[in-house]
Amino acid sequence: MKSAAPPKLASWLLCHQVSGYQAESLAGDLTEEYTQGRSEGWFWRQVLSAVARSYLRVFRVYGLRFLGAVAAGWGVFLLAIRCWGPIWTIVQSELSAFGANLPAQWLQTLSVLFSVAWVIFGSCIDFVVGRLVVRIYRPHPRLIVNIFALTILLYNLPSIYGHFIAAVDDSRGVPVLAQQLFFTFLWMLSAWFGGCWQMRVDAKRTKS
Amino acid sequence: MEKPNLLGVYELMAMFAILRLGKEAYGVPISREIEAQTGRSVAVSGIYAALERLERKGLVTAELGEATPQRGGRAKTYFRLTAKGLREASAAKQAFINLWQGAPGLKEKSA
Repeated sequence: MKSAAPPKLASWLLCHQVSGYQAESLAGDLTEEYTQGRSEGWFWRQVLSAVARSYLRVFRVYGLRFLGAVAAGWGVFLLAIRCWGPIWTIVQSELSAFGANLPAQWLQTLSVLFSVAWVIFGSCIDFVVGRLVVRIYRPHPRLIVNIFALTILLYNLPSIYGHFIAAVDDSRGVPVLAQQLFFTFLWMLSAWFGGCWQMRVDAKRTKS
Repeated sequence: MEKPNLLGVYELMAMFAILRLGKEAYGVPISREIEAQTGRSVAVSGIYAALERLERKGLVTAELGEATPQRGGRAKTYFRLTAKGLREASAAKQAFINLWQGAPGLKEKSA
């Protein structure tokens, strides 16, 4: 009999990404089999198969609700961006008019501050949207929040690719590419964190 | 009259394994039994998917058992065939035997 615990990442996947029918017993069975001598490869194969089945089961049973949650999330996100766009343009033009009387250093500082505000705003929106998609789609909250974060990556991929090509041609494009990657990662993380926050709130509510 | 759905291979194997194991029928022995009898590796999650369908059809019942440290403190789920499940398993076995015995290719080979 093995005394060592099963691979940590695989165990995490088993505990956090497999849901549905007798998920707890399935996790126990796989752990028991591993401690009785099955290989790490066997454990990994079983875990990945369980995760895939769990995801497919959720799509099959709650497919429409799943698509609705992703659509609602993107709807809110795009609406917020659309509303923010004109405000941002006005702020920028006011800033340049105002900046004519300001020292260049002040103007630069203000510009940086507004860029930071833009990033924080985007992150806050993604945080709220992450919470929203989990609220709409409760059967498998971890799945929806992971998929939603992935859709943010997919949405930004063409832009990342464009910046990557530009950076390959001209090294001055590297900071822009790094900035785009940072924003994308931050927005994905914000949505994911928002979803996890909602899961925590739901878990507390269930306990009480 | 409503025709019952035909059972899948995984469902049948799970039912036969539960029959063979009796009171010790939970995930680990069921999958080991199927592997031992078929000589093929099985996905334990696949067995659970089959068991879920069987429970929904009223052919098996699930009962929560004890948790052990070996299982990371997680409880076992024991499965048992219902009377309807036993009838279905028996009917499936008979259907396979009938189909096997009636195969003309088989008669020529054995003759």
